[in-house]
Amino acid sequence: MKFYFTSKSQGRNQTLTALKAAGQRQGEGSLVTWVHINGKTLCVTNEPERSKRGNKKQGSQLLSSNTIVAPMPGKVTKIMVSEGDLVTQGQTIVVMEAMKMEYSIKSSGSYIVHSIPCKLNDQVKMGELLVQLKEVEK
Amino acid sequence: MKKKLIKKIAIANRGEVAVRIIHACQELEIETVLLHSDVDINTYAYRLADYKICIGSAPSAESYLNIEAVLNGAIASGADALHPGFGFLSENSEFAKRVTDSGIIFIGPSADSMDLLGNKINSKKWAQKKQIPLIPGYEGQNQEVEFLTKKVIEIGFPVIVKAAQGGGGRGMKLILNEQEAKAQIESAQRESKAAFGSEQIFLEKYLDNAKHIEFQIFVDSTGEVVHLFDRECSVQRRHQKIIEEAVSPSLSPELRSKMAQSAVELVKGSGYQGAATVEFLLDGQEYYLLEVNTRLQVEHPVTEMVLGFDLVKAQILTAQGDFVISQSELGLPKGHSIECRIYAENPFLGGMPSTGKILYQQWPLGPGRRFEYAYEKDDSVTEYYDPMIAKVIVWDTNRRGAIKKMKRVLKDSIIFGVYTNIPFLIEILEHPDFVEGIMTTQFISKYFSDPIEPPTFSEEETQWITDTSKKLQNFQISGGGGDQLSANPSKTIFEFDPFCKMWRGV
Repeated sequence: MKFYFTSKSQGRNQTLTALKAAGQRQGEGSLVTWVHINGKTLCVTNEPERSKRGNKKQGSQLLSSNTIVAPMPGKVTKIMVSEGDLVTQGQTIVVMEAMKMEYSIKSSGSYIVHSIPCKLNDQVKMGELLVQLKEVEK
Repeated sequence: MKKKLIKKIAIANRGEVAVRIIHACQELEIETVLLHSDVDINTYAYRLADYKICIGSAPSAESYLNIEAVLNGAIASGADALHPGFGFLSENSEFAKRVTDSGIIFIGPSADSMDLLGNKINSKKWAQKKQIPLIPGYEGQNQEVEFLTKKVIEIGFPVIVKAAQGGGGRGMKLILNEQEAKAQIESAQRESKAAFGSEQIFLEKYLDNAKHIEFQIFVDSTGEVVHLFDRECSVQRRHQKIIEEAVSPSLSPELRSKMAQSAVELVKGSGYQGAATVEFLLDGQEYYLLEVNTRLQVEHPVTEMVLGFDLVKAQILTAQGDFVISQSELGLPKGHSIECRIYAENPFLGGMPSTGKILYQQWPLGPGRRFEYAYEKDDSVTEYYDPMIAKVIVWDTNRRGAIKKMKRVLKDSIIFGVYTNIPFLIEILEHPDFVEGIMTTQFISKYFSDPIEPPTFSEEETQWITDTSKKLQNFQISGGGGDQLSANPSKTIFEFDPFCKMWRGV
């Protein structure tokens, strides 16, 4: 990661500090801009065109609600479901641990567990697929 | 105790507390050895320490919690004494004993007094003898989940489950009804095992309208049990303190002196030496013993600020047999001090941990402002440890002034690279219950159960950000792709970060 630019302007007792650097997901050319202005901090992530358009399918899959992905880097400490299970809204699917705290990842609706790519005690990256759900057939 | 001059101290900790200990050692002209994990070479403490020994890999169980590894490191370093800081092995009596047995001074109480006061079950028995009020609960040896579930129903909801070896909010779970009892007990046992190496838990009736008040105790080589007045730490989330202050705005002089007496009484006769904290829950005018922490506390700076007393130096001097404090010389607290814990987390996503490289960090120095931080620019905040990356402490002549100062200081503190809870802290400081000092331990869950709103920007600010963005555009990143910044910078991370949408809550 590289450190690029800090700009500081003064005006009416106000300060703005801004910085641009390569994003956390290295090798993808992602950029991140941090701005601090009047006590407020703003972070803007610019994903490169390639991953925005080129792989639309994967992108939408990431965002769809029947996919459980790791919201943060950490360890999988409990998998509360098995393949074929019916899960309901609010039901805990996976428990993760990061920074010494336990986090429960819950279902956003009623689904059937399709597959569980993660294993117990796996150290996972942010955004890694944990559980694949599928719609309940009516 | 025999007097022995300490020349070199091994630090069995990391982060901002390691920095705090190193600063104290530097003033006392004592050399320091940092016993660290492999990932922690990118921390401020690593750069400050005179010597460093890597004792293991990143997961705490393989380094900071590994008694064998820490002990071997301490012996190899040739240190005369070891400071455990807080968390990790600081309240592990077996560790304290083994350090002492290897001929190294353990900066803290003896293993026996630690077992007596630090173990939550033993301390309750001890307190009962001294007629200090206790919260109803179960602290027996039977650890079967079914049995504990029955006990939970007996005590009556809400009930809190705690790790017998615990501290810092880890392994603590709240049970509100029968349905979730089993799951919460199991979860507490799991967290306790992971964090403290013991599954043993106990149950306690949960007082849901109480304040958290604690008394700082210090015992030097003379054996006099001195109290350094109180701190209030009612602002907690998931039993983890967020904002602490000294002294509490809620105690009348009579109540303060009564509680201080109880705290002193509890420690008396236990053979204790060094710093301890006696924690109480205050419900109206009634107070109950919560637990005793047999170590330095995260929030020790607020006590230092109002009393002008250096607790870490006092710990070290006491360990080498010096006399450092007496109640009569201590004096009364002056002014008001507040501490805010800076956590690496995203406040707009309900406090989800945020890891990454610190790209930039700037603290607004000034009178009555103190900053204790763990990382410098280009250091990495990893997922292996506690999310606390810094503490901001202010002092002013009164509470109102201290709140005002803290708000300004937080607004002027800049951290880029990870999200922090600073916006959340500012909202707390502005809440009428906090301003009036009437907050309870339910304060956060009552008023801040939802993630806070992302910031909004005025037209003028938006214009300024847009102009800056344009300037930044000229800086190309070699090999990088898209360099365009948003034309509408008032959009926040919610629109830009795909991961925020996947978060399904805690």
